Amino acid sequence: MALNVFLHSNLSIRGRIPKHRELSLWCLLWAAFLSPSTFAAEPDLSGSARGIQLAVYSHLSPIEINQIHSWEVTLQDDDGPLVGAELGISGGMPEHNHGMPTQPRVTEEISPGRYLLEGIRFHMPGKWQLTAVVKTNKNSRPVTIIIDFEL
Amino acid sequence: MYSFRLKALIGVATIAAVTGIAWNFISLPTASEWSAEELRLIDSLSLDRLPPLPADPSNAVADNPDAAELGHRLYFDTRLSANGNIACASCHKPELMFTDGLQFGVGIGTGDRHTPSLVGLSHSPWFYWDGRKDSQWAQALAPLEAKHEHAVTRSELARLIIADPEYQRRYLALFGALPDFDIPEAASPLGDASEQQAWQALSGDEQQQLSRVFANIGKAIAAYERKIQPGRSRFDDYAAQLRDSDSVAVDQGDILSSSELEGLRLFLGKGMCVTCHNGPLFTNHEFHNTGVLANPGELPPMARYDGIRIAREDPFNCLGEFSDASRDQCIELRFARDTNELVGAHKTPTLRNVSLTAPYMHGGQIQSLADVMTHYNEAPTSMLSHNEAKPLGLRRPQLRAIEAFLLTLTAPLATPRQWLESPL
Ligand code: HEC
Ligand code: HEC
Repeated sequence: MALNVFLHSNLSIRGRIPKHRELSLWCLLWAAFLSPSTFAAEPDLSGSARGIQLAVYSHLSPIEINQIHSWEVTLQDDDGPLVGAELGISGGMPEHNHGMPTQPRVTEEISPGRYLLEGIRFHMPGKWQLTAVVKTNKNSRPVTIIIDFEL
Repeated sequence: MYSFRLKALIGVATIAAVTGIAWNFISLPTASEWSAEELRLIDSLSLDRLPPLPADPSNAVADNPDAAELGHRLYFDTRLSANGNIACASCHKPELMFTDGLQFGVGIGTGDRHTPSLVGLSHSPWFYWDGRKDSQWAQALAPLEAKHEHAVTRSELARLIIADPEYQRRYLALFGALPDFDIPEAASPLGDASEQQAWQALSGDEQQQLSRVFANIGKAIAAYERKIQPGRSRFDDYAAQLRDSDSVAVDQGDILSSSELEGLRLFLGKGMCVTCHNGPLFTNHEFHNTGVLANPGELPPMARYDGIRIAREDPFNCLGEFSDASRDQCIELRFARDTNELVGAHKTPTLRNVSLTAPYMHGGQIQSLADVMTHYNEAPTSMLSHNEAKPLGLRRPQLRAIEAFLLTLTAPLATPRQWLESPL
């Protein structure tokens, strides 16, 4: 996972055109990124509803309490990645009747169907529940995906 | 007939008395093994699991040893006050785990908040009971100009740095230039009428230069404060022993007594303390309403609900011009929650060394750990919003056991001796 974090963080600048000396490093990074091991990486969390699959790749893996970090969230349906979707995530502890200590937001679609979600922090061990609301122009109603997990 | 009633009455009374005594004084036998979940939690609380000190990108000198030395001097220097008697160390005393033993901090005047410990604090993203500061250097600026604490102005501080050859030398080596204009005696945007007037008389550039020195003083003090770290306690020895041994038995020799272990079990379980007092510092650095009543005469404080709004407006915050961080690095500030849940929510304090830091809570409302335990057992209704903690229904021996466990968290600091004494 450490390798993946490194690679994902490079993804955000991938729109830039590399120059001479950077080029070799660049190819190396892409080669590593395209290697099967990356595609085989298990998501840290996943869920689905009404034909939409959501997978979370956390920059902090395994996810731990009390550390702020970012996630990359992929969205796809049977036709492939969901591009240009609106994704809202909230979370809380059903047993304690309170939410996350932060208000995470999607700040970027870093590649088609792959979204950067910043500002994630969990502050208690125990059962958490995430609610992801996905809006696309394919669905008339927003799709809500619930993900339960334990920290 | 009459004597039968009497006998029955005596019988009932005896049963009641015995039950009462048992409820209050006799503890029940504890389970002899830890569950997998308990083992995981115990390990997560141990000091061995403390992550490295998080970087502070807003403070370029946070880990600079020269800055820590300058900060060390500033921290103990009483010249940083209106009457020449108050330093940070007057209220955050090293010998009391950087607290003062008083209900309210006493500087030039007396405030309305209890002085919190600074031990391990540089792991926290937020500062003050209400979290109105987002870095330790920005926090350090507030008491300097507060009228009831140091009561100096940023212009007086800049003059002191320039006038004292030692300070001047160290400052220039760290931060480069000092202001080169004729600095007025007392000028501050937060001062009294004449201080504000003197501030307004300065040009924008001069104001900026003075605020820059002010911010740098805070950054040096913060570099020093990062040295203040907790030491290994008996609990940490127990957790290490448990981790290293093959056995999941609660009894691991005599590092912790049976009542301390019972307290640990309750801390993790029925007491639900670990929901908020978690991680190796026994705090999630987050804000919770635990129904601690405001002191008489004080309105119930909005606490974090206001604190996050103040932090966002603070010119010295992570996104401000005196911060060394890029926008991307100000994650806590940019993604902080500000919802109604935060009304009356105060920052969870560390429980390390808690036996040495009485009285307790944001307003020093509670005198002893025994009374803290009673508070949690009853979970009074909050005056504002709702108390997140629920009544525990624990028996007296159980409350005493939790208290006994808390005492195992006291240990000399990991900080080398030299930092705990005045360098002046
Ligand atoms: C007059 C006593 C007093 C003096 C002097 C003082 N403080 Fe404090 N300090 C307090 C009190 C009281 C609080 C809590 C105030 C609040 O939360 O509103 C506090 C809070 C803090 C906090 C935040 C702790 C936390 O848990 O978030 C830090 C850090 C701190 N002080 C550092 C300093 C530094 C550095 C100085 C010197 C520049 C200093 N203090 C001077 C009394 C004092
Ligand atoms: C819902 C979160 C939460 C839970 C659960 C919780 N605490 Fe606290 N604790 C806090 C907060 C927040 C404060 C500060 C409250 C204030 O000042 O108003 C605090 C303060 C304290 C203090 C005072 C420390 C000081 O330096 O002033 C002690 C001791 C303490 N808690 C022990 C416990 C114990 C023991 C338990 C379990 C029985 C427990 N807490 C459960 C959040 C919590």
